[in-house]
Amino acid sequence: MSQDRTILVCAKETPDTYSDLSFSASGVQFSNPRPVLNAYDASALEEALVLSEAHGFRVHVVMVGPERASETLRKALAMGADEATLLTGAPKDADSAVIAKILAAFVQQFGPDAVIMGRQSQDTDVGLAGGMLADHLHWPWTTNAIGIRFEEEAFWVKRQGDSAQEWIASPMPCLITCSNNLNDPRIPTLKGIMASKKKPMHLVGIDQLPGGDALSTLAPATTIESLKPMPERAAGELVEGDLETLVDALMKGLASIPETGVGS
Amino acid sequence: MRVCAVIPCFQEELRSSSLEVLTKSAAVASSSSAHVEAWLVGPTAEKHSSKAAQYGAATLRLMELEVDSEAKGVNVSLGRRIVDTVDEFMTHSAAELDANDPSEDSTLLLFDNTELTKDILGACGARLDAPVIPDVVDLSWDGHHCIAQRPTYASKVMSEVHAEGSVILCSIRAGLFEPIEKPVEATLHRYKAPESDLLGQVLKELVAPEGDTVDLTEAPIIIGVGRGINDETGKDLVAKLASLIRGEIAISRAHFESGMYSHTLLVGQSGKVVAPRLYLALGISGSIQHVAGMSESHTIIAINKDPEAPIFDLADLGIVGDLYQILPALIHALESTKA
Amino acid sequence: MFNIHDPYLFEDELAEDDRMIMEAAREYCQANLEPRALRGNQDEIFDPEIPKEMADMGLLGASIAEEYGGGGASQTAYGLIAREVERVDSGYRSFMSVQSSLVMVPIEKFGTEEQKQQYLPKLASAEMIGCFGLTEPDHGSDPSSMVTRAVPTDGGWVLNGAKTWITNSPIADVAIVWAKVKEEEKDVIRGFIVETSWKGVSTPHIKDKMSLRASETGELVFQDVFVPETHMFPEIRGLKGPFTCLNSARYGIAWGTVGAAEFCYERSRTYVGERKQFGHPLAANQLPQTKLANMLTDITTMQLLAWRLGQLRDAGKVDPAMISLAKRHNVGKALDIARIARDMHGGNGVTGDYRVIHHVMNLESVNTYEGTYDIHGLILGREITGIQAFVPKG
Repeated sequence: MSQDRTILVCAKETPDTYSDLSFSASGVQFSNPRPVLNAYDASALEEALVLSEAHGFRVHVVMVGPERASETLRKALAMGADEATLLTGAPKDADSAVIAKILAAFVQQFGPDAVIMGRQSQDTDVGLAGGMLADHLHWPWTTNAIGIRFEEEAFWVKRQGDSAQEWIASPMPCLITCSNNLNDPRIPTLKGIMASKKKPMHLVGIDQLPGGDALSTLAPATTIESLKPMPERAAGELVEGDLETLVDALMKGLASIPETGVGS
Repeated sequence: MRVCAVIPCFQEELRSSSLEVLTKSAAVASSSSAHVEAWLVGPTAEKHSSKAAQYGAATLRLMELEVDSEAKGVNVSLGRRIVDTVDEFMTHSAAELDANDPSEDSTLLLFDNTELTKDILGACGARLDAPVIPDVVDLSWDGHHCIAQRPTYASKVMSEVHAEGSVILCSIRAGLFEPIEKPVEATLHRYKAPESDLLGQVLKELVAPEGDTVDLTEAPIIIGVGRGINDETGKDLVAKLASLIRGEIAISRAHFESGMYSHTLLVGQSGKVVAPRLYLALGISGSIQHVAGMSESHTIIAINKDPEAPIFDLADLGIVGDLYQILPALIHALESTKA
Repeated sequence: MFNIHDPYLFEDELAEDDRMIMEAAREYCQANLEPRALRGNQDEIFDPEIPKEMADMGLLGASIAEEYGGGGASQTAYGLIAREVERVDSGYRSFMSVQSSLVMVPIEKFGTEEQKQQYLPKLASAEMIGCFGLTEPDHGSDPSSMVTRAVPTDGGWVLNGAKTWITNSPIADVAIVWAKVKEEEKDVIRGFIVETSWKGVSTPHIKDKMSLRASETGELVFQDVFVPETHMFPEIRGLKGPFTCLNSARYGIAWGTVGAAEFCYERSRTYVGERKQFGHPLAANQLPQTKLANMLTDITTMQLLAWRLGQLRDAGKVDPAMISLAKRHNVGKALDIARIARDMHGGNGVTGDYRVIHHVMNLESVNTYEGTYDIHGLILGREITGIQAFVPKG
């Protein structure tokens, strides 16, 4: 129906933060040395693919990263995206603001009908790039999607708020950021992996984008100065024994917190 | 120099996270001899102004907005207009500041860390072209440099983030700063709401299922339910316990997949981040994703049948046993105390 | 940084395709197979959904040509898949190996065009499940003495005999059966594609196994089964036929057992880190540390053997004795590692919950099937000395 319409998925490569973490002189190390596709972006891609299957959108994935990130981007193609672009040459310590400006330049040049991306990245948990990008584009945006439908030429997003959920409809073009509770992203199949070799992957230096000279020299306004282990909570008392002992211990514990109203 | 607490106003009572933002604003301002402002945005702004002054805001800027009553606090009606308001206030007040002391023209904007804020914080930063540090657990500011501590990598790593600029935005994690009253004489400025442009967005439906209206980040007592509770009997026991200890129910992602509770109750890296007075973990093993959402709780009590469960590594009190035996006995004990 | 899962960084050396296939297989196995493995092994359940899932992932016939529904992936990729599946359970890997190596490989290598068209796409999509009949009740390591026989009849053959220890037989739609045929007065081993729905075929389930409980094992019994001429492999004669299949499967085992060993090592490492005795983690003691060091050293040799063997197969430079060496070494070491891991888990090691004992029990079979540890020793011995020692002298 609308193969000429495109959903752009903005993706990021992150360390595998679910593998074991250790600290070394050079910073934080993960037991899985290979980077992964940010889990929230994988959910965004999954949703884009589902929308594509139902409504015929083309799915294009864009990533800002080093050339090495092409393997992670290929995973997106193996999952089913039609095409991918890797934007290279960003400063290594780029923060969300820098990334959002680079993506804004790409989106303006590319002109997709919607941008779908993760609500945050699984390493820094910052979650700013979506809102920043939307504001640069002056597009309507919806964050923390836990459901997306395409109806009446608009994207309907079920957004998880603080105490309720909202269905918000946005006309195209619009931007959506996804919770990773939206779906279970598909695992690339062997056939998908083999087919991904034949799909177009463009390597574009950010200096080639509109306003590229300025983009290449953007300085991040926030910097991560140090990474330290979280102050550990000391494990407290562990109580084992008969039911009476356990309940006694619990009652004492609850009574020590005035807000429970126990023992007052 | 000024520290501005940005306060969304749409409820009858000011949220405790807002009081924390005001308290933190006053603390940061006093260490840098800055002025404290409260930016109150929303239909109940007028109502909350005296409370803001009570918590240390000497300048109150009010943006009263009419918001569809049913959709109070939802993003499409309020969130977007906070972005516009912040932009508007910056422009208006920059002129005032310039007149007072142009060399001292710098602003730190502090937000809470609710979903409402997460929705708009990036857009606010982009609009003001200012650095943003979200979800901080501590921060210092000298007028041009902000040094903030924030948990990253699923709360396994504390990162120190620096930002520089005449305007800096930070959101602070709820539940960590004890609200402290600090009454001041306040001056009040009222602003006319700018034309709202929702860019064509329409709120189609508000879904607030039964028992789903709770805002977990505000709750002092949270009962976290994990896979150890796996049937209606268990659910009933949890509900009974919750009413006896004034707790709100939260769930782990593992449990969310069972479909027994609503998504709104999800706590963890992919859900809400909470720091209540008490987190009572029932049958929660303690996966890193869940722990990332509750490890800052003031007190953690955990019940699990597996003595090796990782949750016990961070629990202040760990109880090893079967929930289906312990909960009825505990409920009985609580009921006899109350009676 | 020293990588405690891949000390010599062999995964860095893999081709991008192969590494992506490995990652995808790992994700599938950890997300979908691992949660079923405890009950599967304890209760002898092979979930009938698994073949379809594996097929959807492209894990059945990964290295079979794409025109027949296979994946067209490298031999290395096939091996990496075996490693991920066996990291969960050797039973699941056995299912996958039999379908891919013992059923699809002979049809692709020895079958007619019609046979390939008829069976390979359905085997790749798990519409059909296959099994492989070589071993007989009285003839294990010495298959040339088999008694299953096909005699000519109008339009085909009549098959009689019995095969045993047949992975997948109770759920199979099709069996690759090796049987003796008289050709010019001499017994010659020929291969047949037999459908289990045909008259005279039965596939009794073998009960009460203490090993590979998560996969199906049975017998294949043939009573006057008519096999059409079209269902015989046209050219291949002698043990070269079954041995070609076994080489492919044994190669998969050399990789698979890397996964089983890695699982046992990883579980032991975690366990001794968490389990405290005398006020300290077990890992703070010298014995557990050197046990883990031995495991990792063995795992590294296993990884490098399997990886290099894959390269040799992809380059078409493999000799069967190379496969014997890797199968024998890797299964033997995996079994040692699994037993030590069981020991390191103390009392907990005997419960299914920790899943280490499942690997111990599974690997006992893997050490025996597809050429026992000792038979592979004799294959190597013959290569080294030039003297065969299979047939006892005396």
